[in-house]
Amino acid sequence: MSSTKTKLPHRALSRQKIQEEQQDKMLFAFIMFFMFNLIASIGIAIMSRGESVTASIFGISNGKEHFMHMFDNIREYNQAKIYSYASKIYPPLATVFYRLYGLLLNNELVYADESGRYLMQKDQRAMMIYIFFASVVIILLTRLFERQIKHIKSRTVVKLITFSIVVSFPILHCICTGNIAILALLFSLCFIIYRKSENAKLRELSYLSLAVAVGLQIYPIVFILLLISEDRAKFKFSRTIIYCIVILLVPFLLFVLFENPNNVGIAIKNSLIAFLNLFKVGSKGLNFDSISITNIVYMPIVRRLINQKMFMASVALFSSEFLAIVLFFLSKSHWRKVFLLTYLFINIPGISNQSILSFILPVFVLFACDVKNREKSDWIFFILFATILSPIPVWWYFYADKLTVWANHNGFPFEASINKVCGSLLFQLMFILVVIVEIVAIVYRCKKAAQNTYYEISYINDIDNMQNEVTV
Amino acid sequence: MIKRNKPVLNAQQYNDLLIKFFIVFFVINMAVCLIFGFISNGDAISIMLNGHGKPPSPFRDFYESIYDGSKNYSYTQSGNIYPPVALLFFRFMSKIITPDLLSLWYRYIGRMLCDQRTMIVFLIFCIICLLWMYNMLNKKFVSESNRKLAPILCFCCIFSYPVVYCIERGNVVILSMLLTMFFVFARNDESKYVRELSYISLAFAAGTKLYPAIFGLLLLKDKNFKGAIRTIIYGFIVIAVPFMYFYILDPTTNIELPAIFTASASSADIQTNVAAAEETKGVLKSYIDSIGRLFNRKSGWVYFGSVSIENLAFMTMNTKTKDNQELRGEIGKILFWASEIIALSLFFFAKKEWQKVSLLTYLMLNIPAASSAYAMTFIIIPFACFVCEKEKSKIDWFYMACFAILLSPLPTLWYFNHALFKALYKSYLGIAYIPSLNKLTSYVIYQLMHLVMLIQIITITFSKDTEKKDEMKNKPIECQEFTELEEAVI
Repeated sequence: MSSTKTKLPHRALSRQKIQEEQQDKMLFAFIMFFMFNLIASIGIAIMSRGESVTASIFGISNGKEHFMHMFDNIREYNQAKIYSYASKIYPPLATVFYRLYGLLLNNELVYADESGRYLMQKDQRAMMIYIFFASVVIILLTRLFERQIKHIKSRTVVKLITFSIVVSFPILHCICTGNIAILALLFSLCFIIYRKSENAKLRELSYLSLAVAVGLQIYPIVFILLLISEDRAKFKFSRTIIYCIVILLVPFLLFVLFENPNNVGIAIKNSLIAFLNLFKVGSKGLNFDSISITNIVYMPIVRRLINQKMFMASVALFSSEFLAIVLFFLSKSHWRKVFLLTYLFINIPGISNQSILSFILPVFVLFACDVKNREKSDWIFFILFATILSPIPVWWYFYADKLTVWANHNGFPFEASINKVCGSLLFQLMFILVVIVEIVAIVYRCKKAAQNTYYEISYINDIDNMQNEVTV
Repeated sequence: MIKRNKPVLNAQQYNDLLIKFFIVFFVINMAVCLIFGFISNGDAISIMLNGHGKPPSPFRDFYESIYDGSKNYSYTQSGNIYPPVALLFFRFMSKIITPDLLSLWYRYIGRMLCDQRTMIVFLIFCIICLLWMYNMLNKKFVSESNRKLAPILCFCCIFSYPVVYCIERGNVVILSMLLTMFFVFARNDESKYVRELSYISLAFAAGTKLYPAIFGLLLLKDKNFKGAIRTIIYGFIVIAVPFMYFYILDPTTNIELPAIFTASASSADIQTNVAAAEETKGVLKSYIDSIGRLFNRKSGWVYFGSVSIENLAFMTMNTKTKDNQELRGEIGKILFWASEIIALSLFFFAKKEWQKVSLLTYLMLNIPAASSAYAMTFIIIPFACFVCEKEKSKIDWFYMACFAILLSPLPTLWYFNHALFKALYKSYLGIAYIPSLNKLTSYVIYQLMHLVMLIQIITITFSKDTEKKDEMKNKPIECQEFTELEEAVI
């Protein structure tokens, strides 16, 4: 008896030690892989005079598109009656942000037509505000990520992991293109980290943060499902929903009432139409900027096998979304739950792009911190995360001309960035692996539950039999 | 009637009160600046930075330096004042820039602003600098001051007027400041590797901007002579090696190297190399001349943005008549050298860490050519040391007020009536005017703060000397009594 008592803690301790050793090896391998890719990218950037970097982020032909996502949106969101247009969704808080930004710039820049599109790149205030905006967001992201991984013993490893996250390809893509998704990521991360805080004020702030993220980009609303499995879920859920509604509706109604008071109904209708259009599968063919599963049907080998591409793409889209939401409710792993929620919106064709892939960073951090459930199979996930996040050097840049000819001959556009070419494939592969792991975990849980039920039933039967024998 | 005594604050609470005062002052000014900015479509903010008129192109120091760094004749022809390390940094940057831009004539290099690669490189440079500043300051404030207010203080430093102006200019002085900050904070670290890294950091700071070399005196004050010698060796290597590289590269030295080392990015070099060969005074002499120009005044009247004491001599000069310009110049030089000698002397008597750092910063910022609104970023280092100082007294309210005025972005309060204000200013005062309240007040506030600090150091030093003399007089008697007592006990 005493020997079994001493064996159990020792076994638990040794398992913990094995898991920690595996964790250390995985983190080390991740850092080495990342740094190698970063240094190689810088080397190739020097050899190509920076063209490999710009080709990787903007494509080969786009020579002036830096920060233009931000500047174009400033011009677009400052137009009057924007909610009358049905072409896209204008999240209300994003409208507030762009309008405030536009208030600090000259009117000739904000209301410029297409010919004056690049004027903001030369403007002192426009560039200064953007640089400080990007810097502050990166600083806050760094602080939040450090807070999440602070349990790692080595300070050097914490610093290196944080550095890797900050210079990861999705984040670089975000800040170089000027995508506001990075701000939504910041607020979503606040929610994911602090929603379980012991401090009531921090918890409340986390719910507000999610509401702000939803106001900026709408799709982070999916993270609200994380509250379902918590204590007092209804109370937290309803409060967060109220915050989201207030932050979404109040600015929306203010803009519509002040700019287009006669057409409130049309504005709401247009916004709903724009929302539904996000799920439309495009027929434009392969788009390496998209991470959606619909892109895969247009990939070189796959498209030759499939005849009705749009139909198959729609089937793939809706079935993957359905699978993700079902598995979310069945999953017991925190990082996989967050991954499945992230998958839900990254997979939507209308919003899927390389910048939104930055939402995979909280998933990676949660995965890296999940030491207790570390298995050998997690090496595959580490490799996938490392490949998706590392800025992979554009090895084939110097053969771009020949490869462009070959790609055009085979009917698809040439993409210089290996990150973009592999990103959607690796992301979908990760989803498939998560699905497999979850299904295995569910089967295992069911089996265990069945065994426990069998033992319970047989135990009850044994007692009944004993009682019967006694009465007899 | 019960008399209620005022609550006695402990040192930490007193310090927190000072920090809160700074934060409130900063935030109010920042808010007013933003409100003015929203109302004026950002013009009020541009005026704070650059005065009236169309704002100049931003980040010009950065891409102009890249342009200069890409040339092989950086010292002989372009009269570059950057030390070799800074130039090497810009030369490295020029390798990632579109080559066509580097072959433009100088007046067209503003096109770099629209170049994707230049701007991405600059953005990443700024993000790394501001992130590093935040991390260093946060670590300092959390460990030695108020943990809760640390992040707010750090953001106040990031959005301070000197830092914003420095980023707007694209000047590499921010990198020099960060390297110096690392040295000041880490020179007494427990880890010997971190201490060594801090010495190397100071060497690189001096290699980027020369004048931070003065901070090496801190090692002498700490009586860390071995560290000081090692820092001097590092400084020599860091400056000499890149300098040799540029010396060999320069076409006037007539040293033939393989093309990979000499290939400058521009074809314009081929044309200008001929011109460079004609008017040459040697690379070394050109570099020494560029150091000498540090002590020359930039203009013959008040130079706003500079906090040098020389400015005081020109403060009351009539803008129209420019009376006694030469005499004022001479007075300015005397003031400059006197203040430098006094500051250097009192450095060795200062006891508080923040005062030592502040005096060294003064020695540096007082140099006419080195003194500018963007060089004021160095003030963040003594400010951080001041905030972390444990013992505080009533006079520290004055210092905190000065730091608050120097660092906060002060709104141009008269912006909406600036024409009237300018007319009244010039007609009644007749002296130089600038719409930026920061530039208008910085040299007065900074010199005043420095003067009060000098008086305080002198007072403390002499009062301590007097106390010590008294102690020395009394000591023998007390010792005698003690020994007699001891003998009695035995």
